[in-house]
Amino acid sequence: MIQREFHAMGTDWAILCQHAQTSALAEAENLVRKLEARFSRFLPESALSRLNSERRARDTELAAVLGVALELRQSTQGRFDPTLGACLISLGYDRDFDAVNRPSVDPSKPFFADLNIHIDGDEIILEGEGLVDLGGIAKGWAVDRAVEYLAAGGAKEILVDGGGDIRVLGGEWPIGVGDNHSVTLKSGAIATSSTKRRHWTSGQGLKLHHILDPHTGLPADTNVDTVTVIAADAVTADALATAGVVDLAGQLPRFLESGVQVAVRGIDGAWYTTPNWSENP
Amino acid sequence: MNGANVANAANVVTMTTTMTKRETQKRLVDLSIVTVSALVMSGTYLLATRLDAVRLTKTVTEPAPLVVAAKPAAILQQPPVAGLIPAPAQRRRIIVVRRSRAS
Repeated sequence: MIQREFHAMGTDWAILCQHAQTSALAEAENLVRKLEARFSRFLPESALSRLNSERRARDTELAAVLGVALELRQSTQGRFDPTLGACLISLGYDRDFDAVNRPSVDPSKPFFADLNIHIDGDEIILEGEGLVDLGGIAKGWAVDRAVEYLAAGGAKEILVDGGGDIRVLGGEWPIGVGDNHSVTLKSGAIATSSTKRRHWTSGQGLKLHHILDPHTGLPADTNVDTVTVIAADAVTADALATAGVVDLAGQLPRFLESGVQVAVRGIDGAWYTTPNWSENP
Repeated sequence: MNGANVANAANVVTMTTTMTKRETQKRLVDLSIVTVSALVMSGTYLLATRLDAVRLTKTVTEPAPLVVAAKPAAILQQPPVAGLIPAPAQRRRIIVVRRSRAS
């Protein structure tokens, strides 16, 4: 088993696998860093930042990830939404989270702008004032690409962990969920969203977090603080976990229908699961 | 030990043996050594058996670091959304390789 750890996309990454050269893991890390450089809204020269400023771009991979994001927006009835960049900025989340201080913003009036994203092949056109934010999907996308890259190179028993968004392919991987639970994944992905991470305090002393309700533009007011989703790939798990925090009651029927496994922590601290939850999914 | 042939009145020869006090003491010492050795060996055997049993138990049940502690689920609380069930208690302790942390 070989392993590589690094910091990217504002979080800690780990790659573990069998039957791979060390150089392959270095290349996988490089792939993640390239994706960060393209999809970050905190880097002014990223492809995403240029799209947000110029309102149009021709970029195959950015078009692909945005296409998936829009599909997930539709399947979650808009509870996962990649068009909330302007809201996040107006609430003070305007730079890499490590650097977010306490901005003087009025959370009762987020900048809530309509944004339509048109994709035609590799061409992307933005209509409206809002900004694209790939925060709820970019990490999962990078995890999936890293796993695919390693598998294509002949690696076996692969695990890629991007700050808790984890995908495995082959082998048996016991993954911790919360403090007292675990699942053993052989294939698929697991992701967790929580209001307990990436939270800050406004200039008025109000506690804010980064998971916004697209219907209000404000941090989601929810009776669960953490949602963990097991799905086929990391992008889906990542986006559904976010949607689950925003509106669990609305998303649960769809979760059950599609067969994804979900564990949640209520604000009382207790953990609950969908009935199909298994330690060996 | 001394032995002596004694002819009695019926000319029957009998053999008598007697042990000196020194020889008796020597035999008692020998017996005590054997007894103590047997006790020590039995005790050692029992101790080794017990240690083996404890070690076997530890191998099966004692967790390494990064253990998910078995903890009963809170079964009396109300699920935040209908359709959820209290998380089942972990059936066994598992060493996790990674943790799905919130992001």
